[in-house]
Order: sequence, then structure tokens, then C-alpha cells
Amino acid sequence: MKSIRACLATAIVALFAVTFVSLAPAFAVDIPDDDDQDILIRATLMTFNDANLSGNYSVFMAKASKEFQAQFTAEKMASAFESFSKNKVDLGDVVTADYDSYEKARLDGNALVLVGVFKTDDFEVKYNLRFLRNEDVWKVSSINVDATKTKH
Amino acid sequence: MKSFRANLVTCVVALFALAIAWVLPAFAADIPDDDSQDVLIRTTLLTFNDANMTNNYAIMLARSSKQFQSQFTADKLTTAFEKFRTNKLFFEEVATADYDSSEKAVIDKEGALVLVGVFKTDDLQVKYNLRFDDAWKMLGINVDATKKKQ
Repeated sequence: MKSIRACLATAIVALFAVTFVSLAPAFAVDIPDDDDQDILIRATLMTFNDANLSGNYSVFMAKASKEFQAQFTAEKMASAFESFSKNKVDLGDVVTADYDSYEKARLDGNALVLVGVFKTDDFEVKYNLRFLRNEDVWKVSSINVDATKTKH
Repeated sequence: MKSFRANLVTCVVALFALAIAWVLPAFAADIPDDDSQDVLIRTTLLTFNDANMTNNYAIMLARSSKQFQSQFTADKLTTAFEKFRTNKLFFEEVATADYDSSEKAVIDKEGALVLVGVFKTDDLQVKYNLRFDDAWKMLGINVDATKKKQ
């Protein structure tokens, strides 16, 4: 078991912005259609990947929800995602990868929750993303990515 | 014709790093397979789009080739791509959009990989002409985004 584990490199990081209103939605929001969910997931993971590969989280921060921005700085992000950056984990293939599995999109209060798994040639990428509506646009309020190198 | 044009917003910007060596290829690149080309095109355009959406070109610059970095600064890119921001020509849909057309990938006389094509999203037509070095880092970018008539 240990030798199998040694072949895998796993990087898991979760950053959750605390949701202040969790009981009742402050306004009615609809779940975006499948195409829009797909764009949200891939675009978010590509922005995340750019940040990891460049070690610069300023664009990720600028695109995130104001709730996320209120709790994290680019420096905190760099520290949180150091394992991705340091190991040069490149998730670029996710932009065209097929989904291995995914859960039905749901609303948790005002937050849109998108969860699933991509498999690329090199990685299994599990994601758990939450988005809040800011000025009529879905913006990241939390991100949890688990990238595991697949055995060859 | 004028009223038709008034409905369109077009923005074309080209930034190509000059190749120092003209005679011999500066790089010895093989053409990547179709899947890798697809990843290169979409990730490059998404990085470019992120830069335009946030008015922050530092990451686009950091991910580009040394030749590109030696010729352009984040400030220069901010100026060059101003029209994308002022006209809100943003295209995250390129992550999943179908190609409207694309040319066969070529290695040009300087040894750079050249990828050219067109995406159509619900709102925009996005023409791209991208050049990459042998490490698939961006050498040049030319994007023409046109708003469709509603």
C-alpha cells in the first residue's frame, strides 16, 4: 500500500469563504443551465491553474466573489496552494477533458455548488466549487481541488 | 452599410514578439497532436480573457515566452488591449465553444507553431492567430472579437 501511495502525488486545498446568510436565501437565484455550469467549472479551474503555474493569485482574487476577497489575500492564496505551485501541477488539460463523474448542481442558500471529477492523461482532478451571485454574475466563493497524479 | 457597422464592435490587437533569427529556425518544434493544440488554444485565450476582465496582465506575461516577455510589459499590454475592456469583449465561453473554423497547424519559417481559427459564442465571433515556441509558450497573439448583431 505504501509503494502505491508513493506513486501518487496528491494536492488538496480548500478555501471556503464563510457564508453569512445560510438559513434563507436573501433573493431568488436560479441554477444556471448545463452549458453555463460547464463554462463556470472549466474557466474557474483554468484561472486557478494559471495562478498556480505563475505563483500569482491576483487575477484569481480579482475574479472571485467579494465574500471571498474579504477573507483571503493573494498572499494567503499563494501559501494555501503552495503544493500546486511547488510541484508545478499543470491542470491545463482539464479545459478539454471529459467529466469522469459529477453531482447534480444544487443551491446551498444563495450559493451554487458544483462538484465533480475530471480525468486527464496525467491527473484525476476532483473539484468542489461554490459560487455566489455578485452583480448578476456567478463568482467563486470557495474552491476545493484535489489533484492526484495517475499511475502510468 | 454604416448602420450595419454601427451594430458591430470589433477589436483587433496583434502583438508579436520579433524573431531575432530570420534565416534559421529559432526553435525546433514538432506540431502537437489535435488534442494538445485544442488545450493550447483554449488555455491561451482564457488567460488572455482573464487579463482583460481584470485589467491585470501580469499572469499572461508570466506564462508567455521569454521573447514575448522581453518585448512587452504588463503596462504595454494594458494599453494594447484597452478596447477589449472598454467594449467588454469578454469570452469565457471559449472554454467550451465549438470551432467555427480552423486552419491546419503549421510551423513557420522561424520555427514557431502557428494556430489560427475562429470560435463562435452566443455573443461573439472570436478570431485568433497564436504563435508558440518549442516549449509551447506564447510568442504572439492576435485576437479579433466581434459582437454579433442581436
